[in-house]
Amino acid sequence: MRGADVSRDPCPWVILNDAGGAFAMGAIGGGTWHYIKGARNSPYGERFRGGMNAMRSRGPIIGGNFAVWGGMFSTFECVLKGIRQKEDPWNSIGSGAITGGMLAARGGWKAASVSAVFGGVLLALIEGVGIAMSRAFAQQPPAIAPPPAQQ
Amino acid sequence: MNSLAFRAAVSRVQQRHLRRQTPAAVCSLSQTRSHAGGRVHGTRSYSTAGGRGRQMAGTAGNVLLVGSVVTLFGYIMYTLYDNLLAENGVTRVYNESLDLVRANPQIREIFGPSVMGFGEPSHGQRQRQRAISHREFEDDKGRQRLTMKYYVANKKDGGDHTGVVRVDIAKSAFTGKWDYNYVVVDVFDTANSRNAGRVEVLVTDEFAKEVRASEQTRRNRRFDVGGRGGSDGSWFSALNPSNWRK
Repeated sequence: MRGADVSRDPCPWVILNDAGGAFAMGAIGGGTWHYIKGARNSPYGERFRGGMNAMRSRGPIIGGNFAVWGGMFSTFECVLKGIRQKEDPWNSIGSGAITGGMLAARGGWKAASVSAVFGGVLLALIEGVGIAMSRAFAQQPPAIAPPPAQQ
Repeated sequence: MNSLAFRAAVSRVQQRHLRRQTPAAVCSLSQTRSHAGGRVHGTRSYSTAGGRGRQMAGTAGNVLLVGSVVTLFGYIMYTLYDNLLAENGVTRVYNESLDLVRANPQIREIFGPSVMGFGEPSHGQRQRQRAISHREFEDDKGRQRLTMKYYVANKKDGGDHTGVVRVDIAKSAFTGKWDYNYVVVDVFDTANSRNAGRVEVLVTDEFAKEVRASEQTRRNRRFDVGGRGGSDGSWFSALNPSNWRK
């Protein structure tokens, strides 16, 4: 019974993990982006300092935004997994839609629904890339003898 | 210094304005300036020939870029449809068969009210959900088949049973629809680490008939191969010790 590893349910802890990962991603990527932007907007001789300033002031904000997205997404995914008791791509698509809707909720129903559709489509695309990658790289399992013993 | 920069900017704007004028106007302008109409025409046609080549190369690059992006997007969309929505999509069959398993009274008795379905154990931390082991093939009768395997357990109340669900669906050669061959659950008692039997959630009559027929042919063979070799019971296979009956 190698396959039936029941003990590994990552769910409450994976939220923290995802929020941290998203913060790191946003802080590094946003920091690089704003370093370049700040350096370009500075006069000669002040490029490095201007870039560093922009990075210091803007990078953590982007990281925070990413962390909010990642943490909420992971939370909703765990909720959906707990309610449906199923593990499939619908969980992440649904939680992407809910997260997008919740984060745009202050803009009213219309903005929230547009943002929800956008989040769902985005997560569906990510899931699709994952499925396509696994289809391309995972080898087909060896032939299993399927028929059940019928007496 | 400022006025110099201003004059330069003004001349740049003027040039842009000139370029935007109709070709006839440009032509007449250059004629009035250089007094050499024929030469102007010649140089202009030469320069547009070079520009056309460059333009075509740029267009080809754009077409290539847009085409590859559209192809990639279409492939991803197709993959999503094939997995989530199609009749033989792995995720869809997983959802439907798991609903069937949950509705079964025997399963409810063993596992309780909450039955979680999950796939193979994942090796990466970043994996969102566990992949479901499945196989698509064409069987010896020429039908498209899809078999899959996943696991069920009660994770809320932490029962000591685990089930291995095996699903088999086939595409009918006549109607072109996919239908189940069987959904069975092999139950394991993890506390005592022993096999606790099999629950047949769904086995169609046709498939049961097929299995019975193949069992019959196996029983009617002259030598018991027990699945060891590819013996068909022919005379030569009796010489192979692995085919001797114990």
